[in-house]
Amino acid sequence: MRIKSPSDFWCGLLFAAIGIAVLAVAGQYRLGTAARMGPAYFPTLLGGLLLFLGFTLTVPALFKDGEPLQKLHWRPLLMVLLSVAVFGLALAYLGFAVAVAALVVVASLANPDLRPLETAGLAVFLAVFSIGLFVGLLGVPLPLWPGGS
Amino acid sequence: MDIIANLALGFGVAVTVTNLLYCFLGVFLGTLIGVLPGIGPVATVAMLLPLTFSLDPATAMIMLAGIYYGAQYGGSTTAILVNIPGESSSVVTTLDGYQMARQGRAGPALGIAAIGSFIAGSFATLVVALFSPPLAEIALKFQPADYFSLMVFGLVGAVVLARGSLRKAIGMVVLGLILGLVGTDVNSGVMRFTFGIPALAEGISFVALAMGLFGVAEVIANLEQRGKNREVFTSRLGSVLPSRGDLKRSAWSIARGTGLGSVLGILPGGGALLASFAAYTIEKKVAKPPRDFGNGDIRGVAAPEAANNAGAQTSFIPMLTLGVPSNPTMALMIGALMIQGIQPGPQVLTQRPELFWGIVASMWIGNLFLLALNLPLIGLWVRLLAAPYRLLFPAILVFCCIGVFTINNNASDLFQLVVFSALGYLLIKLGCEPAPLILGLVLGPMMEEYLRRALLISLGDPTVLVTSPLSLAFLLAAAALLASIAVPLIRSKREEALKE
Repeated sequence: MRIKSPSDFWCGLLFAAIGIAVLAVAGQYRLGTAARMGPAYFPTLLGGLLLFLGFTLTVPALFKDGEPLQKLHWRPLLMVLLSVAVFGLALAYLGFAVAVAALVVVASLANPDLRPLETAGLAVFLAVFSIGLFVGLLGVPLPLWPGGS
Repeated sequence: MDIIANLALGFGVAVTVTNLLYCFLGVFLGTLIGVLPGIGPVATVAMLLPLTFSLDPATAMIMLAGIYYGAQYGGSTTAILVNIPGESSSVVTTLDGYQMARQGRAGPALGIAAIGSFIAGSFATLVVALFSPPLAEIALKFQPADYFSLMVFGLVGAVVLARGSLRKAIGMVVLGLILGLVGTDVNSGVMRFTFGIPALAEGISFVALAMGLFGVAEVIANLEQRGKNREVFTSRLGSVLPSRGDLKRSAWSIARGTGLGSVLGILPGGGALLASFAAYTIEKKVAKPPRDFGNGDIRGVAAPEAANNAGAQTSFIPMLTLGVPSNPTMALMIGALMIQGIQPGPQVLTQRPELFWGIVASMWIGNLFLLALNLPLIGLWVRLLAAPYRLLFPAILVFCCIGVFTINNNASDLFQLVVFSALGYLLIKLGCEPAPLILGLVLGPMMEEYLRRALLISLGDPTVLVTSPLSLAFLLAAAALLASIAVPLIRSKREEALKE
């Protein structure tokens, strides 16, 4: 059978899945009573509500025409996420200056028309600029160089 | 008069060298970041929030308010010059503002936006000063059940104003509430939904969440639209001072926008967004002669810009007096207050009057700086905007990452950022607005606590929510709001208004 409103359908499934997960995890905590709510009480209410909302999206989506699913673009998504992760790792081990440069280089790969010189220049400029602004001017304590604190 | 003594107290706090400096710095940085295409006030405030942690509470709030106004004005600049609204509240500004820029009148458009914002901001500051104390007095009498229902009302307001599907918006609120519960349960000490990750014990970092949804996910979505030409009107900026004729034409539009914005800003879910849309719609109907709207009519810039600034200002009222945020930016402000060790609510006004009135006074000072800063510096912002996106987006990412890292000086927050950026992108693709989710995140723990207390007092009887008159009134108002968009006529109006 054909899904008539894919956007609603998948969104509803996502809600329902999260709702079930919340109910399952909350099941490990003490529920308590209305007068003495345990840690599971409020999450159980919310999880149930989300599950219900998921159904109200998914079920009508089978019968009523609606919006199609938008196409996912993997290259910008993965490169940008990777650049943030690289920044986090580099910051912990290699210091802020290297982390900024690494972020800029990885993020630039999100763009298909790569310009190596420009990217290198931007990496250096942003590293210098953000050290100047955040560390110099605003006094944010950041580990600047490898091994340093 | 109390009000004069109070304002004097406020100006005494705000007008110190330190506070003026941070107010100025806030407005400057807010505009600098807010002018970047695709970055709105929420992302800007989240990004710069950590800078305020080391300041004392009054200075921190003063700087944050400055950042907020700066970011809002920065968004209008992008709307006028590049036709890209920084946030939904400047969407309507693109309609006439960008047309003015195409006709070589970008200067007067930017000028009238600054002047209109200043007038509106000054008036709205007075509204905040006049209406907050009585409201806070009423709020002191609220019982837990009343608070719970007030929050339900606030969340319903946010849902009704979100674009797209109602069910998806409710889902976003519920998801936000659930995410808000992650971490240590204050009552039992149980670690909830932390999956054994120690970094989650203190809950989800709301800056990482806001940054992911409003900053990084936006960047990813913008990157896939490459090839679309951005036309930036920078060469023919001309004088930023509107002519006498322009001022005369816009005077009433600014007045109407200011009034409307001041009222709508107080409503839950309202604030700048609703104010600017409503002001533009009304302006089109009321202004005479109406023929030029959509073709670069200066009144089409003046009214919504005045309205969104007035709305931005008065949306502080529910935040400061009730501790309930009416939009995502206010949710961030509440987060900032709590980091400073201040529980937002009506008691702030009585226990920390210097903080409260200092913020109010600095609102006006912030608006003054905005005017003083933007008229001479517009050339600088314009040059920044002329840079291609491939150079700007890595800079945006760097600022996002620094913002998230500096909250706890902890690299693990950056991995939260990765997760929430992916979530944000997925939600954009599924047609879900992220704003209700942020409100839910901040309100989640408070709602649970108020519900818990309400039911404890009533010995588990849930009818306490409808037997208290105030609570009942909030719930009825929430139901009326929901019903109003279920009715087809109003529903089509809502879609029409939000579509433009």
